[in-house]
Amino acid sequence: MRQSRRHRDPTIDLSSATKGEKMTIIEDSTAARLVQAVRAAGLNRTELARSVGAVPAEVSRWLKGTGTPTECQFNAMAIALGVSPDWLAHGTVPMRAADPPPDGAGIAARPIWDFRPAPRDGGRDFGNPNVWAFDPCPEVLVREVIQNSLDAAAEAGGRVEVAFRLIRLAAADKRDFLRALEFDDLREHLEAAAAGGQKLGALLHDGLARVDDQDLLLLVVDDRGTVGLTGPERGRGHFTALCRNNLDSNKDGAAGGAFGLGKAVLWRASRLATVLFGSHLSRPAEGRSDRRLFGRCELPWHEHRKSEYAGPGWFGRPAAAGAESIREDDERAAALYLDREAAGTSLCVVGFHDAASDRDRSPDDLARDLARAAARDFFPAMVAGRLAVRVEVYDGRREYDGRRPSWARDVEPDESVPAYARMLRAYRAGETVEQLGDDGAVASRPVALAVPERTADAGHGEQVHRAVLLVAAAGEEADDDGEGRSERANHLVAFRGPGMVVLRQSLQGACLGARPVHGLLLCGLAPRLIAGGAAPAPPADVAAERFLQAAEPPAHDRWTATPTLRASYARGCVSRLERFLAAATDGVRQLVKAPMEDAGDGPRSLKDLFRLGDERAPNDGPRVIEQSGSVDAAGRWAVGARVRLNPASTPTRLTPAVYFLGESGDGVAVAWAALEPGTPGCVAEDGGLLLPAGTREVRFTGLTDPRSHPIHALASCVRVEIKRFTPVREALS
Amino acid sequence: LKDIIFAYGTLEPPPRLRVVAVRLDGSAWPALIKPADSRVDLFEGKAAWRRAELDLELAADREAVGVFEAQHGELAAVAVAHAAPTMVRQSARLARSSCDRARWGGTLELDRDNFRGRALLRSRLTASVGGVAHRPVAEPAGWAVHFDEPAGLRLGGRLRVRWVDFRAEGADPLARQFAESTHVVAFRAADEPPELLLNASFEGLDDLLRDGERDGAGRGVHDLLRLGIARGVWLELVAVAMAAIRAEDDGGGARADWPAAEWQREVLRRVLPRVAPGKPERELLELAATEWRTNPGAGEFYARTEAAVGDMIGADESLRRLIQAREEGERS
Repeated sequence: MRQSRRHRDPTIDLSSATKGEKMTIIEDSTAARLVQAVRAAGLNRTELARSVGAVPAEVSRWLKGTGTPTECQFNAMAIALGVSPDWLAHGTVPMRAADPPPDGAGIAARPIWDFRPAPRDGGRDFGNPNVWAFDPCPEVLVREVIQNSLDAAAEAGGRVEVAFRLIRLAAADKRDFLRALEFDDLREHLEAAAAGGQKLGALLHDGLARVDDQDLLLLVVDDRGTVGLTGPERGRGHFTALCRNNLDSNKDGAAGGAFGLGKAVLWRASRLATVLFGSHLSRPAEGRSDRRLFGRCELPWHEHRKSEYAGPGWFGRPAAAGAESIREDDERAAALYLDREAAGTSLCVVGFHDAASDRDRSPDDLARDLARAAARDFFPAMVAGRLAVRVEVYDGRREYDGRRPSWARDVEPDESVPAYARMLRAYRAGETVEQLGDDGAVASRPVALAVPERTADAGHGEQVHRAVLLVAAAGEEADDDGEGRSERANHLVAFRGPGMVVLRQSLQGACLGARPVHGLLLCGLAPRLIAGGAAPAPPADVAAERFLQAAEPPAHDRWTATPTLRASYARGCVSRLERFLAAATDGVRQLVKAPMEDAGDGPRSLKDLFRLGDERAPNDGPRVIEQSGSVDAAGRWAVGARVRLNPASTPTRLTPAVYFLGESGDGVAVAWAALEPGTPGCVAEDGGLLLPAGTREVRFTGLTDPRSHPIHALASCVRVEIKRFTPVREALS
Repeated sequence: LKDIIFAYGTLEPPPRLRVVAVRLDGSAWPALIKPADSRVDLFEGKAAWRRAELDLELAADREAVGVFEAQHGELAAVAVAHAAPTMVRQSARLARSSCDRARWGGTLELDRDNFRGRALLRSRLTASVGGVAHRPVAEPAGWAVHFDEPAGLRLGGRLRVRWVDFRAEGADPLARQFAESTHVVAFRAADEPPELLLNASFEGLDDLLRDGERDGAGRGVHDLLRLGIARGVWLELVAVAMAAIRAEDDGGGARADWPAAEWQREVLRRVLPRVAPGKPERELLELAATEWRTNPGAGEFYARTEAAVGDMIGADESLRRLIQAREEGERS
């Protein structure tokens, strides 16, 4: 803390600032300057305590020099007293913050890096696990960033523009940036965390070395047409969801994202685990409507100057409860490459790199990856006119200020995914055909998704959604994923309303021997996204959109049996999903395979070997020929049954079970509380009956165990069936 | 409600369900109703219809209804069409006749887009039992509503076998890929039975397989060829059907269900009892969903399946006859 820099000095009287309490403190110390500032500001200790979120007794201790404020309290106190924090701490700069700083950087108020103190229970988290949840490649970063931008569109269905800018900083450019970042303060925490030796520590160590020795690469992402980082400093809103909180998506059911986990890839992509945010707000937040600047550093637990820190730290203006957004500091925003004119959000990944690669990659190389990933995963939103993406590379401040990138590309689906773009346009124009021919036309057919009953929140009954399957013949070059191309033949690509590709499924085997094809599956609100239309979406489309979103894991890269899906929909939902995906594959097969020329029926002598249906194999297993039952007062099923079986030459074990029956499916077997054979020579054991050799018929009675019932017995209907029948080696005694 | 135990009394005898009229897009199509088979063949109606309306009637024993209602309160009737291929259930409440208290009627509307293959049409009488409304108390035998022509299984009883020129431009892609092969099996949509395609461009194959009287070596070659084809094809059918068994682990242990496609269920129900004789159906399904699908159980399963299939199609018996005939020929 700053008190460690105190000097030994003559004493002064403090009675007026401390309600007449007599005390002696060291002159020219922090406490002495604090007393001086309190007097100058005309505040008493209660007022000062209130303004910094402390109690008066704490302020008294600071004034006496016997207590230590936190860094945050210290900075808040400087603001409340209208003095420079550096003056208050060291007395080495002029007292008033308004005085120009000696280094002449032109940056008005000095922000702070405010790291969260370690918890009182002594727990140590060596990093944010979310950071490690995803593959840290540029493709994943692009998915997460654009998905967030689309979800934050200012108007529902409105156009969003996203620009990825890679900026290489060297020499003076790097120095100016780091100064605006208050890097000296941040560096102390980074070094402390790097010294911790944990997994992230090694990466930080490498990052710090590179900051000193090499160029610094920034990835700045600007979006336009979005609401910006609205919301309060704390609590719920876009700002806190992105900048402060973990696992906070602040999104509704139709959004592309839903977990709030993906943003962690930003910090993973920074060699310094640091990401900055700048935003113009589309609507006021806490009475302020304009520019907002903030930053977050995602470190593990670390110890710095004898204080312990939990890990994360925030870059902002000092306030009583910790760092808060810097408002309307255009100079600093510009210095951090976060200056912007229209509503939306900018973010800056400091020390950007491809964390999935074991080699250093050039900015041009990274830029190509970003462009390719944007086309690959967001071509539906682009074709629909909802999204435009540009990627630029700048070498230094001069190129950036002049907006003269050394490399630039507007991502065009017609160039990167020409077949997919053509298929979607054909669908929008209503120019699809029913069967794939040789004329290059796009074939389409509906694929039914039976959305099950939704049991969670605003539930709904069963609905049938008709997804749209598009298939087109793939050219010879389709498998080439080289320069810019992101299409692969014999793959089915599926997406829903936001226009982001969720599923990429191989059609290997589905179209065995057929010509190569491209398949697109437009699900939920996706057909409306592409075809347009102002009418409200049909309820079945909305239901399918929510159903499929619930089936997406945090990476949003497939549809599967997620816990959310199981918790939100009626039993059987997983089967419905599987059937839908199987039906889509079948649909491709149907569209691809043309009807064959028939050369006549095969020989009857061969057909006779494929008899099905008419004749079932004789099942000589045991069968229940009589059953009855009732529910007793304890909620148990009391059943009795008679079973007939072919006599066996050895003893056998028969396992009967009571099955609770549902509307469909084979029912649920429940456990026995008691099982009693009614045939001489038979013995009950472990939920089964041991039968002597030669047994032809067995009777038994049983009571079920209510703890194993899926529903109350009175609400059920049941059937007695034979679950297992096996010979046993040992003879019955 | 046969073979089901209820926790309360049910209506006996059960009522009877009839489909009394069918309309496709508003036009009557009485010929589609096949009462003898409890079947409605919608695929025989006009092409590209959008909505079918089925008028239903449920008739119960008047006296039994009176007695039952005196004990349990008023009965209500509902009809449900359930299509497994699309997992769609469409229901309609049946209204009670004002002149006959044991008769209910109503119309079930089925949109073509929501159905494929076959739907099972069932109806139920429900009543309040023990203070709980809508408990099922009677269920008559159901009907089958065919939206698409059944592909020769239940009705035809055999897998479809066709001659196709494997070298022809429009041949199945798989056939074209293996243009020198005697046959391939074409698997289409999961719920549609596959077809056995015989290669019409394979010179001499037609002679060997053609139906007709043969003797001596000619008969032997004919039998060996068709039985060899059949054995391989059956193994393919079993492999596909095994892969289609639905196993779901919902935290309370794995639950298995037969494949959704009718032909796949048929294949397994025909073959599995021969693979493990004496086992109840439940146990066969459990084994098929677990042990027989994994290593090393799958090896033993297919070894047994091949033998079972050989037995099922009479391959061994045929070979024995051939050997016998050859020995007799040599003796004479």
